[in-house]
Amino acid sequence: MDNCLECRGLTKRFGSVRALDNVNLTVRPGRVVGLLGPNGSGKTTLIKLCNGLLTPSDGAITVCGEAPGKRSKALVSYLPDRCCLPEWMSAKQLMDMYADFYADFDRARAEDMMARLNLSDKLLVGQMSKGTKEKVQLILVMSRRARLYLLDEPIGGVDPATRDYILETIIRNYDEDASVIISTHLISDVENVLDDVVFIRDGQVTLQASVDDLREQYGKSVDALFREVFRC
Amino acid sequence: MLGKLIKHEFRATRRIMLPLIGGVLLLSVLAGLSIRGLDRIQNFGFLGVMYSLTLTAFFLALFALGVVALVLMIQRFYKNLLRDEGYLAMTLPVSVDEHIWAKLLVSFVWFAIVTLLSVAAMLIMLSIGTRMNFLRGLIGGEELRKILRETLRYIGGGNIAAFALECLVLLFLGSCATCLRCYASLAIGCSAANHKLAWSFLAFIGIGFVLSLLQNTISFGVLPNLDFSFVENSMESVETAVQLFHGAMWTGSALALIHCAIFYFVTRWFLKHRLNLA
Repeated sequence: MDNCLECRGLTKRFGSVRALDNVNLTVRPGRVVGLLGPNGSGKTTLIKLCNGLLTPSDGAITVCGEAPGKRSKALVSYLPDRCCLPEWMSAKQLMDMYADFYADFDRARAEDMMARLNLSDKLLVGQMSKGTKEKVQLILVMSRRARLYLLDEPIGGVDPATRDYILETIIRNYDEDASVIISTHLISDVENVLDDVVFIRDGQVTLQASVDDLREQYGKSVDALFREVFRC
Repeated sequence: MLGKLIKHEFRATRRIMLPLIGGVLLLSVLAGLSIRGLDRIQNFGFLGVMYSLTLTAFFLALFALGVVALVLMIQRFYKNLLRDEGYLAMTLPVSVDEHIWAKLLVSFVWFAIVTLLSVAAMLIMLSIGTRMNFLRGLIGGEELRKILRETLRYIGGGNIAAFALECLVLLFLGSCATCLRCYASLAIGCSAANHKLAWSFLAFIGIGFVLSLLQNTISFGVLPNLDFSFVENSMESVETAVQLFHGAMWTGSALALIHCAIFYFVTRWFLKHRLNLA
């Protein structure tokens, strides 16, 4: 089976600024990977490159063996760091839309999650609170049986209870052969669900290792190591 | 996937266009009744003011409908592909070409509906207002039908179907060129880091400037060296003048097609290589 993500010498420049600089990264199937770094370190740029929302300046990237494009997009489920749902659409219309475009969308799973949160599918996005919008967006993303889940700051700006719900939803719903990449700087909240971590700083990958190896090697939690490495 | 995109694009636009279309049709009936009322009243009092206001509202609504169709065409492209909704739309498993075509075709359909509806609304107003059946008059009135047939025979050079096709092609390509020019401007402007709409507006002006520069270069540099005596010769008989008219129609279509192709590839390139969702 192809690796879920492979980056070779991946570089992205915005004018004279190098947002990503010669990134080499491999994500194998069945792993939950934490993409960890401070704000502005290049996490979102990397995720956008995986989605084909940006094109690389140099290097190569493959997602499930495909260059980012129409075919790779069918295999990737993406949660952006903001609400991207049209305000005029209801949850039902959104589910219709996902079912139309994604062959791997599991509608029963989405409806079940909506029901457990007591969310009416007639509710318009514009009528939802910020937290509810984030939950609906997450439900849609995690109701796909995708090969790679790209979650950009899924727990940023939500209360601790919602944070727990989001992490539980992620862990309970991804398939064994799929991988999940979670971009965040709230390490302590996600540490327990991660298999691997990637530290990224100033557009460069400074560390890629499994959480178990790190704990064994440094004798401390990923959160403590992150604070040490990224101390200002 | 193009069909699915078109379906969702119609779903997004019809919620705005259908109520407006309903409103215009209702106002056309009310405007017709107002004409009848104005004809009947002796003193221009309160009723007269109300009738006049209804008529004004009808014409304003007709104008607004066209403006809304135009604004909606621009707004859908901008909001759906280049703002936050772009994170959803641009990660769907569809190509950039399918996105552009879906937006373009749906905009054209609304433009066509608005044009046909405007004619229909005017006919409704006049039919009710003057107690004449204009529609029946157009289709069933022998005198009117004869005039129409003669006119079309002259313009169409005996081939009315070909003339209708020329008009349709020119209208379609002209509308597409307008839409694609807006799309290209937005795609260029939104590739900037900040002030995306201001850059888009500048891009629109810039495109206009380049086009007029090209037109002027052709007008003053190339055309004077060509022999246009055939235009004068064509005016000597109706048949040759009609032929010249058809030539002009197809030339217009060809120019619109060239504009479409240029704007399409600019839009496509910027969406593919310079997408910058902030």
